[in-house]
Amino acid sequence: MKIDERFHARATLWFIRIFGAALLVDVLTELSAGVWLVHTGRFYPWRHLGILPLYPVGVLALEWLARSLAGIALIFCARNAVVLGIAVRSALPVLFIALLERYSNHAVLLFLITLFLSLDPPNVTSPSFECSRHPALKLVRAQLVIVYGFSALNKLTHGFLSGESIVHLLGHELSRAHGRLISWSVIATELAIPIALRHSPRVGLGLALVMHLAFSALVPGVASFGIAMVAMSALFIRARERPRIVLKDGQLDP
Amino acid sequence: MASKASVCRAILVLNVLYCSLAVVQDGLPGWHMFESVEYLGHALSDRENRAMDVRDWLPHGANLVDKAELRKVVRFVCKREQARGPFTYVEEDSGVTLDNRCNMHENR
Repeated sequence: MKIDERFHARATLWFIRIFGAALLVDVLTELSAGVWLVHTGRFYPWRHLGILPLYPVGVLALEWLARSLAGIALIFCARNAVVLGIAVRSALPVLFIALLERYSNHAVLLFLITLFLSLDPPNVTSPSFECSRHPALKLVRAQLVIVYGFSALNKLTHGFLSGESIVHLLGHELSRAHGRLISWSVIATELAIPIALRHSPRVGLGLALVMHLAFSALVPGVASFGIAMVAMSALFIRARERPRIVLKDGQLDP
Repeated sequence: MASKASVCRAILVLNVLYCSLAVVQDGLPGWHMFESVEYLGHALSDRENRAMDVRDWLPHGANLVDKAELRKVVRFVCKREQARGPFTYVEEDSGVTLDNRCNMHENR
């Protein structure tokens, strides 16, 4: 097995915990945003796809409860593969229905990570964890590359480099030149993070952390997305190669 | 393990194919994140000429990024708050107006 196919048990543990925090923060963000008023009809049906009718506030409360419990289970029981499996597999249909009620990029991301974890919930306490293959965790790593790669590609093909989108998003007191500088920086960082994570995971993790902290400070409602991306970045920290044992006849034990 | 790996590979291929399609097909959800935020300068006022902020009818922190969605919100407000109508709606860079039945009209 190649070294970059190994997963660091401790980093994986932190990935699960931080992802649990993202699930929890997402519910808290919706609570503080007054999303229940969408379900009472007081607010515009924001991001509602129309596939399922908007359900009553009581059902929304149950949805929030289920997602919060899954998040709490991931934060506090990440070492227990059985609890982890139950948490992600029970959260999966709830997240899917929530996605139909309120479509957003962060809802899609939280759903996809939960789906990948539910395929093969990692047992980080297993002694063979760092020596085993984890195709579902590799899928999570790949998802990070997909998100940053396609986000950068979409920005490049939709005129983001002009800086106008940033000026309109952050406010008109920002000059076009500054908007352009920020736009170029965002795309450069989005492209740099996967490369840095591949070659120097801690640098990549730091870059992801700084970029998403900045986004969360400037753009409301994107904190859970940033936390989920930082969690995924932690998964790139690789297990070191095991020290090899020198046998008496001078041959190396693989 | 082999079957799990195959399932994961299949998911990855489908995932990349879908995202590639979403790059070229407008309106298809993909990883589109604030790449095209339109200028949304507008004014909405009620019968007594009191200014109204459409964000009062949106969850806190909802990011409006295009005119099409802004107009949908305005129509929602117009229908919901009929007692305060008729409304006046002006977009700073277009001649769109709102009629008494909450329909938008381009006046170019």
